[in-house]
Amino acid sequence: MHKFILNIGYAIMDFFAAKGPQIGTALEIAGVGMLGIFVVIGVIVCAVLLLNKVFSK
Amino acid sequence: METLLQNFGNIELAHVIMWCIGGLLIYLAISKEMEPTLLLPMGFGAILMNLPVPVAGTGVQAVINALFDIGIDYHELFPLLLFVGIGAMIDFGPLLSNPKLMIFGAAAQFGIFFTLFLASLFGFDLKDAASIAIIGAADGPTAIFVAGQLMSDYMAAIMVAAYSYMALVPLVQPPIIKLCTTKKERLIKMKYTGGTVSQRTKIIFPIAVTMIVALVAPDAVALIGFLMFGNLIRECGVLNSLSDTAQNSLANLITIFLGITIAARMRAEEFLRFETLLIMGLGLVAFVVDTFGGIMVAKIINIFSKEKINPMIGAAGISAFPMSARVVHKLGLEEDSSNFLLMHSIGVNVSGQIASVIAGGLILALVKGILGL
Repeated sequence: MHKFILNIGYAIMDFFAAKGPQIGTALEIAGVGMLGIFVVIGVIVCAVLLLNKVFSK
Repeated sequence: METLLQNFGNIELAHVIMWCIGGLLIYLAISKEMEPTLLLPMGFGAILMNLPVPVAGTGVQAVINALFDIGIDYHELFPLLLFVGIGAMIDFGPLLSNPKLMIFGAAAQFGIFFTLFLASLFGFDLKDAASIAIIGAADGPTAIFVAGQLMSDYMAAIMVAAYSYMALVPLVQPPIIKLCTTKKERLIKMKYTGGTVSQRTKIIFPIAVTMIVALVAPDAVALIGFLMFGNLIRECGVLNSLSDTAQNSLANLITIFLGITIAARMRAEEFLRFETLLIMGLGLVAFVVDTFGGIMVAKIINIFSKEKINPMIGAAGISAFPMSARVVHKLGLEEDSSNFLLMHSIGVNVSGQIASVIAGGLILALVKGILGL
């Protein structure tokens, strides 16, 4: 049983070792992408608030 | 007589399976009214592309391939033109009167990036993982544009998944919303304080958004530019006939061509793969996590805010307009028949349209940068 669990553990480590760089790249894109969306949306929100202030009836 | 019967010998089992898939899409379109504008042409196109021909790529296949080359392969013309029509259909008024709702549109794109990570885990290479992830944008033209730009090998499966799940929003979202929220949260009433937005704001908004997005995500300019061009035609007030044409004739014409053109990638040897099923599954995950992301941000804001937000409106941040907004509004009414969430959910829903385009552009920029495309 002990050996079986160890083997599963090694298999998982091998899997991630093989895919490590790709997963790392995907995580990087995910992180930067989400941050980027919030930044752009934040700028748009500020622009709209400014427009509403300038052109409010 | 032999000449008339010789094509029967070209029929393969894979063709028959694709005829059944095409028939299923047509059935879903007509009988269940699931996105009939796209699923019916795609279904019929799938049948056309898998009819036996003496030489592959000739006859009707050559015509559909030519349409694909012109409308999608070279410059993604069809989805961009469709976006002009979509932009002309959207009223950004509810959003402009309460622009802070845009944050939920941004949050509801989380599923895209989560699915990108998950697709990479499943062994898809980066360009395909990104193309699959964009199903989470819940926006057909954006999905086609990104998958086309990245030259994904799974475009047909991605399109079928994207449009199928967009049509399934009323089935997919409610259980997730109920799972992620408590009854007390669903009963939160939100006052609609939106004032009238000036016409000048409505005119300057599409121009400003295009310029802002161009500075940060230039790869999204084509999408956001055409979307906002359509909106500007609508809001300027002096081009009513063009606005009407964009919303109706143009949108319908391009939709006819787009649906049947996607079928160029629905040949049996490209579509009947294990990866197609995996893509369907990942697409569903993208939608689920999108919904979850929008709701969670609303719940986090509620921790710090005195004026509580009904977290259900976060789920409307996916770009499936207006279905998602209607789903949230309906769930609100189910809990309390005096709780009208429609104006809030519509505002969030249209912000999701903008956010999904920005997400598509950012994914393109980041993936192209890494792959050197």
